[in-house]
Amino acid sequence: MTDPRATVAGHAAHDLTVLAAAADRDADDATRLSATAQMADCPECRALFADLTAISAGLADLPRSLPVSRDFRLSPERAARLRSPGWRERLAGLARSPSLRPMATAFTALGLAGLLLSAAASGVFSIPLGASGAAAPALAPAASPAAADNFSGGSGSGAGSATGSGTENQAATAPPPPGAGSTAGPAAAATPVPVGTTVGKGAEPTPPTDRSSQGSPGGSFIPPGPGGGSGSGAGGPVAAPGESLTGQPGHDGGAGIPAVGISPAQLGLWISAGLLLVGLAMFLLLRYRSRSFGR
Amino acid sequence: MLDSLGLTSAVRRTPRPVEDLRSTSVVDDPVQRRDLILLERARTGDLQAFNDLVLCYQEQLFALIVRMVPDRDQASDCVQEAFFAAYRHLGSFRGGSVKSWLSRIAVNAAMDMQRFRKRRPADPYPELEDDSWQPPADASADPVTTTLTAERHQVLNQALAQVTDDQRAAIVLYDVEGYDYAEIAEMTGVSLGTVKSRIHRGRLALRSLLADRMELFRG
Repeated sequence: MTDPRATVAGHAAHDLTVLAAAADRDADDATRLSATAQMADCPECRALFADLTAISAGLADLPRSLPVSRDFRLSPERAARLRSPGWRERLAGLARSPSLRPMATAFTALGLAGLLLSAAASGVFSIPLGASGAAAPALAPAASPAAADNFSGGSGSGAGSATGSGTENQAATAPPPPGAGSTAGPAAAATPVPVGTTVGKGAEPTPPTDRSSQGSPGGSFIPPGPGGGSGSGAGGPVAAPGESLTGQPGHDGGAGIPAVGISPAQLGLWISAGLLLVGLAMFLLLRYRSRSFGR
Repeated sequence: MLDSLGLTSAVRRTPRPVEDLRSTSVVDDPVQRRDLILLERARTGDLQAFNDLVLCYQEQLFALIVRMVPDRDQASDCVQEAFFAAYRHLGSFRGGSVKSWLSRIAVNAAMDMQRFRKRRPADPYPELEDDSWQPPADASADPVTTTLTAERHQVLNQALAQVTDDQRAAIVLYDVEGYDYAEIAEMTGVSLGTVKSRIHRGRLALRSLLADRMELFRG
């Protein structure tokens, strides 16, 4: 006769899920053999298996159809509404496109690579898109004092200004600072400033340090414009007063367009971010497809 | 219901040749053949054909879903949503059993509703105790047997309501509806092993819950 305490201890160590698996209608032979071996010397397991089988039979005996309290048929109006594709259906249609995954991968990869490259480039290069290259951002802040100088020069306060008579810089919209030009020193007198001459790139601006007292070619500190005739001064060829290097009287010289504040690196950054966002949106769409209807 | 004019004509009509091979697999089962014909007609815009399908399966879907959600109202909502979704996505039917396709949609709707209700809990399963309806008994059925069967169903439904949602869905699909592991895995979107585990653990949980009522099941 078996020791009941040993049986109980043995049953506690038994894997009950094997018995539950063996109660399945399509349990495999290995599971059945394992369960049979387990039940051979354990009455608790035998009782449990009998109960599980009985429960399975009882579940299978539950009614498979029940009367409904509602009419589930579709009315023509409802059907028409369901048939018209909403944004979810359009999205699902897009998500079913077989080329979505490779496109999402490509966009995301391009975006990430572009972001990395742009981030790296923005630390090394800061090339503006303006016509005059790297000097443009440095020039822009100086435009106002330069214009002031030109304006004052136009008023005939100094020699350098006098050369620009009649070619008064149109960009000189800022009012002259107090005493501007009036204290123009010898430097201004000695250096005629060909305001309005065509100079172009290469102008190496001198920082506008206290030009009002120096009378230096401060009047030439005009942001270079695409139309030429601007940016004259320190770095450019010196033309005779009233002359233009192209032989044309300079005009519209000071109307320089400030350089655009977006560098190629920044532009790349934005484009890459856009590509990355599009790629991620496509992946979201793919996820939506896998989770949505008909999986 | 089944003898509606549209349905009768649909069953009698020879299936017209269609280009989509997915739906032209040879089907010996007359029910399945009827379903495919109705589905093809519904795809072409025949609302009556779809409504015939609704009439064929609404009671079965309701019986399936009412055991997966807390009450009959929610079950009705799920079944209604399932039919809406089925009509909206008629084109996504990939062949096979129309009943399985509809069941999958209904199960997904029920699971979605369960997830939604978990975030906003309501009264727990009050309606499953409603035993006001029982399947009609045979004229020859013994009253004692009929009563025992009704009581067995009631305690089983009560016990089912107490196991976890996942276990309940797996058990209902396997033991009540008769689907196999693979079909259940496809319906519920989990692996085969997870399905088996849910069934087996759920069955053990049921046995614990029914421990003092097992005499009803021991014949």
